[in-house]
Amino acid sequence: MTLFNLKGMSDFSEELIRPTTEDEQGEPRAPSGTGMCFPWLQKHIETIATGGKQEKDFAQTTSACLSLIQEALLKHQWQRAAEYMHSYFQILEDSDSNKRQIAPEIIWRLGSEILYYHPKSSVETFNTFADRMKNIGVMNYLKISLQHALYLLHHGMLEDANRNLSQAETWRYGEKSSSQEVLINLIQAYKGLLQYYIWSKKKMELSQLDEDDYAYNTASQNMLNHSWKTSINLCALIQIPGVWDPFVKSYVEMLEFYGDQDGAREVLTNYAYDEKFPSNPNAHIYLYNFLKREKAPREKLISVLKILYQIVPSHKLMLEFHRLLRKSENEEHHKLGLEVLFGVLDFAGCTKNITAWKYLAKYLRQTLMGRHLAWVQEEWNSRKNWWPSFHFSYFRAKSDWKEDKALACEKALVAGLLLGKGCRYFRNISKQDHQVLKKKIKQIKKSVKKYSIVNPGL
Amino acid sequence: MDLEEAKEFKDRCSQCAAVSWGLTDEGKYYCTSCHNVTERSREVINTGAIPNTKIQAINRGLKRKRKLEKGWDWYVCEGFQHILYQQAKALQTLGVGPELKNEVLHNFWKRYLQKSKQAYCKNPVYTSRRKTTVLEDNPSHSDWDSEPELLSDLSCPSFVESGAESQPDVHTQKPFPIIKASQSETASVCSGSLDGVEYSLRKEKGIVKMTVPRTLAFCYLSLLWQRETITLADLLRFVEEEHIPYINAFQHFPEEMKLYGRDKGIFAIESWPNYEDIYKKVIEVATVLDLPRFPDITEDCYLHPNILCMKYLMEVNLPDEMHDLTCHVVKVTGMGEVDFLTFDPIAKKAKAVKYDVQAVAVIVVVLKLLFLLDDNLEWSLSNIAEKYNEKNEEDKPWFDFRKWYQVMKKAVDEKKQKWEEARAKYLWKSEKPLYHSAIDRSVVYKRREMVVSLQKQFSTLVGSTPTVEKQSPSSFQFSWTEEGGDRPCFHGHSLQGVLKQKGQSLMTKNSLYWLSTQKFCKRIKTSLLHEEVSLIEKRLFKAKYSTTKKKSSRSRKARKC
Repeated sequence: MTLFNLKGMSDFSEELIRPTTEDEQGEPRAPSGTGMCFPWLQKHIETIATGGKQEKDFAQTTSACLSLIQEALLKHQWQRAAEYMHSYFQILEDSDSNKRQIAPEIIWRLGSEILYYHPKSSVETFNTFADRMKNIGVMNYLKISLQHALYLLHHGMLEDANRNLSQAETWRYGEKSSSQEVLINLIQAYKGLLQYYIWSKKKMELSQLDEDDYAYNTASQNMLNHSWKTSINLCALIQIPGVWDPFVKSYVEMLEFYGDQDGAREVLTNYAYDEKFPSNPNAHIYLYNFLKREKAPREKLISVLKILYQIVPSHKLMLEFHRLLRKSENEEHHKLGLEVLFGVLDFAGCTKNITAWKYLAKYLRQTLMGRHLAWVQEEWNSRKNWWPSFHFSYFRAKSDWKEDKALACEKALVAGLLLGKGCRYFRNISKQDHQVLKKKIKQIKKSVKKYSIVNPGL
Repeated sequence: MDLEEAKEFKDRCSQCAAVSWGLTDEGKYYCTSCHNVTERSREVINTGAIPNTKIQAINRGLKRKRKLEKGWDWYVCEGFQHILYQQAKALQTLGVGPELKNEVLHNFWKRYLQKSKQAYCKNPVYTSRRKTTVLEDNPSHSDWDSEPELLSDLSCPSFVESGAESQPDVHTQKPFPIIKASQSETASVCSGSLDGVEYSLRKEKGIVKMTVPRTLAFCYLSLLWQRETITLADLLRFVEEEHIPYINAFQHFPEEMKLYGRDKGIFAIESWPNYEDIYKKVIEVATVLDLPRFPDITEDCYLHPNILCMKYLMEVNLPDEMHDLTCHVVKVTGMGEVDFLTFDPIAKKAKAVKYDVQAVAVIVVVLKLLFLLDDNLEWSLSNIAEKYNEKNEEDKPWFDFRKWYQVMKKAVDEKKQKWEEARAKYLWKSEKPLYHSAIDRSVVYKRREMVVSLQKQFSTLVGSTPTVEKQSPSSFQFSWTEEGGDRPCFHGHSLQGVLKQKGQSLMTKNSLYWLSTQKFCKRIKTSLLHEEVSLIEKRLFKAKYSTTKKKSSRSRKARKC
């Protein structure tokens, strides 16, 4: 919407009477500065731009109808939406061929939404509707088939979904455009996923059978067949850049089950590292977990998690990452270990994570003991302005002690080390009198006295 | 394939050796026993004494695209005649007298046909056209000169009711033989009517081509001639409420009048009629038809501002007492004069009076006189009225502008919302779809089938809410009764609060007035009402107007009324 700079109504009427040469293009003037928005005015301006020629009332009807449908959907008024939808169908007969072309997709999206939620609708109604819409024009067939299948999956009708996907899979029309190719691969992939699901069920059944059981072999053979079919269907899609988490996971599980470690590794490495693929933290997590299962060397694990650290520094795997770094012999890694801990605790979601605080407390002490004051200072420099009120406020001290005394103690140590024994948090906790934690508090006081970075003696 | 025996062809068939030939549509010989089509086509040997029917048959055989659907032959203006007939009948149902249909409209239409040389004249357009076209394969037909007779009412229902219902049995007679000689042969350009293609291409100066909106112009002219109690705004509203056929009026054509191809562009419209557009067409048609001065609009006519003002005052729930003031304004501005009001197409600058808009404009002017409407005085006057009414509940209440505004706005908003919803849900396409050509016929039918089945499916979901009954036609859109509640009636309220005694007569308490914008920016479309109000004000303050500067976009002047 165009903003208009209105200084006052009188000025406005002046603007209107100004000679037409200025606005010959018919473009609404873009103002600077503050402006007021007048939607009704926009419509008038548009009529000027088109030389006063207004759209036919048919077009007005359909666009008004569309807004009413959308409004009804937003308000969950399914019956009302169906009522307007009834009138909206006439857009399929619009004399404007452009509108006719885009109509089926709009109708499908709105109609499927209505049929999904409407109390009187049923799976049959949905099926009839989907079958009709698939066959209007050729470009919608695959997309609608896929969405139809997902709908059936949603309702637990796996066989029907499978049938649907199989039918869609064989669709061809002249020269496939590249967008259709992705859809076909997606359809195959979902089919693969369904087969994976069946395979998975069979696996469970198999695990309950004895190896000597006469049924074992057949069952196991059966499973193998399914897995082969699945892999055919899935591997095509995985080659295409995209986010395919559930497909990848299933595929890898199957590969691992049949001992194809190399295959699995290849798929996961590709998924995580291929530059064409969008950045996806899950890809790295899958790879990491796989390598862990394989008992890969620490260096390797660290290199994988390093990337995850860069993408999602607040991930819970970061604590595991820290442990790996701590155990490493490389001093760079030790430094990074400290960095990672601080990074995790930057996030609001981790402020009450006792493990994180425990690690930080211990490691901070360790680092300071190891005379790496510079590392600590480097980390603390960017945080000293906001961590105190973020983590170590007086309010926090009270509430943490109330909620989780162990947590409070760990935090107190960190606070003391970083802010000195005079800081509120430390003082508050150290004052507390508690039977069980008495000893611990004493230890904390001692550490702070000895190692705090604020300590002039250090 | 036409099963025409072609006895002159004596060769043996290359496939089955029989000698038994027929003629295909394209004029090629084919074997009637094995249906083998040859490349030989029949030649016309002598053109001398070939009777008309034979010419027709030959013509049919030679390179003629078969008509898509069998039916009668009809001309475009017959179609319009049918529509006018339907509209006239509808008006009659609404209460208009039968003379409108039988005489007035009929005569206007005949006159139109004469003026446009389509019928009722010496050399109707069709013959002359045929004479000049050069036919592709049959130069011998170019001097065919049988004239069509008068385009009589035989092919469509008669305007005049002759006792019993005039029904299709009259239609089997055709007054003149039809030969589609000059029809363009390409598949994409065709029409159900005989002259559809040519009609849409016709561009002649000085004559207006009949269109569906123009049918309303004809209706209105007839209504005006008869001085019926239907204004142009009413007419258009009835059209939108579907009491008068307009959109898809062609659906009521007789079965055998087939419509397709170019007819679609002529008869299938997808917009509601627009007041200003129809108004212009009214003047245009009246001028082209050379109509004389219309019957006088006198003080007892419905269309006279005094009566229309009363009607609108009632409808808009304003006090009856305002009527005196409206009459006064009408008198002072001379708007009640017969000459001002009567439509005279022959006059130098033919203008028609927008009776409805004008009456409402008078009311607006009176409201401005009483309440100034500067977003200030009307509210203070309302406060006074409210106080008075609270104290004196027994007396006739003083008219409270604010209260009226709230009541009226609510009613108008409700109506407007319903109207918008009805417009959004309106189904434009006819049940039987119209197609452009043979190629797109099946596509169009298929689409319609799809739409109908989708609609059927969703109509079951719409549920048990009763469909809104089509409202019965009424002159009044709002009605108010004396029972109070949340829809109070202001008709009986008094204007005492805003008038004061001055000697023998009453004067408005308000002594100010502001004039609306005079000069309109060329590209901004002003509302009709605004224009009319300005025109009235111009007349009202004529003397003082000529002394004011005209350059200013808005002048606020204190005037003693």
